[in-house]
Amino acid sequence: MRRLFLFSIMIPTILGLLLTACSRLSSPSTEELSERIRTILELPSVEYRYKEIVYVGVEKSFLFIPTSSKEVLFSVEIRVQAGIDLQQPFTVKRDIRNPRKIHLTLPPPKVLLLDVDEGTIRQYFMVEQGSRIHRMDYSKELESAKQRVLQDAYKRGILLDAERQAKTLIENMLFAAGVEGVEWGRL
Amino acid sequence: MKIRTTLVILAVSCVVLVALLWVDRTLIPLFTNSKRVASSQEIFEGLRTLKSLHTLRYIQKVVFPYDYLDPELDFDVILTTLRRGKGSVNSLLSPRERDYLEARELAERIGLKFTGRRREFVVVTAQIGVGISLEKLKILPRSEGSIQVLHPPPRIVDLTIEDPNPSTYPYPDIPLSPSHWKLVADLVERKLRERPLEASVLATARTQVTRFLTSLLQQAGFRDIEIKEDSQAEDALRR
Repeated sequence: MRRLFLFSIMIPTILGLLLTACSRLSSPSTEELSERIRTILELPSVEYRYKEIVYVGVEKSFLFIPTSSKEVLFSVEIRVQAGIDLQQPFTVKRDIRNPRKIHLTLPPPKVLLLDVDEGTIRQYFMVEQGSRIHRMDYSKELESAKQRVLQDAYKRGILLDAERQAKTLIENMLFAAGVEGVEWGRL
Repeated sequence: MKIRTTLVILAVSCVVLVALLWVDRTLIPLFTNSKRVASSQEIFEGLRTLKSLHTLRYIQKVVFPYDYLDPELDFDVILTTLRRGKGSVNSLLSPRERDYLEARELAERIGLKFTGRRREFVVVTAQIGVGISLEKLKILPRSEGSIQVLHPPPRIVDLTIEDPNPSTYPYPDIPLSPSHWKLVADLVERKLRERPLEASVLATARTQVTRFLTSLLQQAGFRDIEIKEDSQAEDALRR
């Protein structure tokens, strides 16, 4: 009778251990998770779009008498995209005590695109008196507008947004894949 | 005797198995589903956390009053239409004509010179968050690994008019008092909310929505994903 009792405990225990092992194997491997994370990070995670206004105003005078002036006001669309820099490596490690917990280290976010769409230039007005506005004037101002927009995007937190979005997407994917906890680090 | 022994073995086995499942609840799905594909509910809950994320941030600078003074319109014609017509301004004038009239009236009231040799203008910066409402997101699982998602059209999620900083304002000085500035900012904000978003902005927002949803659903195990804009939600927004 005692043997039977021991036997009845051993069978489900062995069965349970086998099931536990199977469940560990059924969750995606670390390599598979790394590949999925790479796929997510390949997308630029944040885009800021600007309708920037550019003003060029030059006035020349001789002995306090205005001799020439030129003034132009126009708008242009500028796009800034940021995401995680995949040129640098990222690491995915499982927790030794709990394999369902992941330690992730991402490279810092960076601006991936800064694009001035010259096809969107819209001129509000142009005043030319004694002097003409040249293409060089436009180019110079467009370049400074580009830098102004880039600084503005940094100030508004485009890099933080990119990092936050990347983390949210990765966490969503990991939780859907059965991961119970994610701990973030920075390279 | 044999039946009794079998029953004892079965009962003890059940108790031990239940105890094991209680200790490690992650084993339960093994009895119901061998392949892990996240349920639509799980995905939906995951997507809910994205609610606070905008698909696009649009920083739009508006030039007052020139952004509203369409060169193809004639102020005298607008005035004549108003004098001769019967009914409200809204019924007599098109949206562009109303913009023209309001902007011109305000510019004159606050003393901006916008014609002739000297041209004055004010640049107002608006920060617009464009996104979709996740409450209206419909997730329709079709078969295993296949899913259809209907999302509402992108819209303005938030809009902020920023106060100008004189030290970083790269345009000629604003010849306005604070109360006049407030009038201009209020008009710009109202017009931005009234006007539909530009097609290129909407297109970018749509692309971002599709990218995010596709990426999330792919990682959740779905292979056949169809993402469409929900035309019914669009109609509801219009109403």
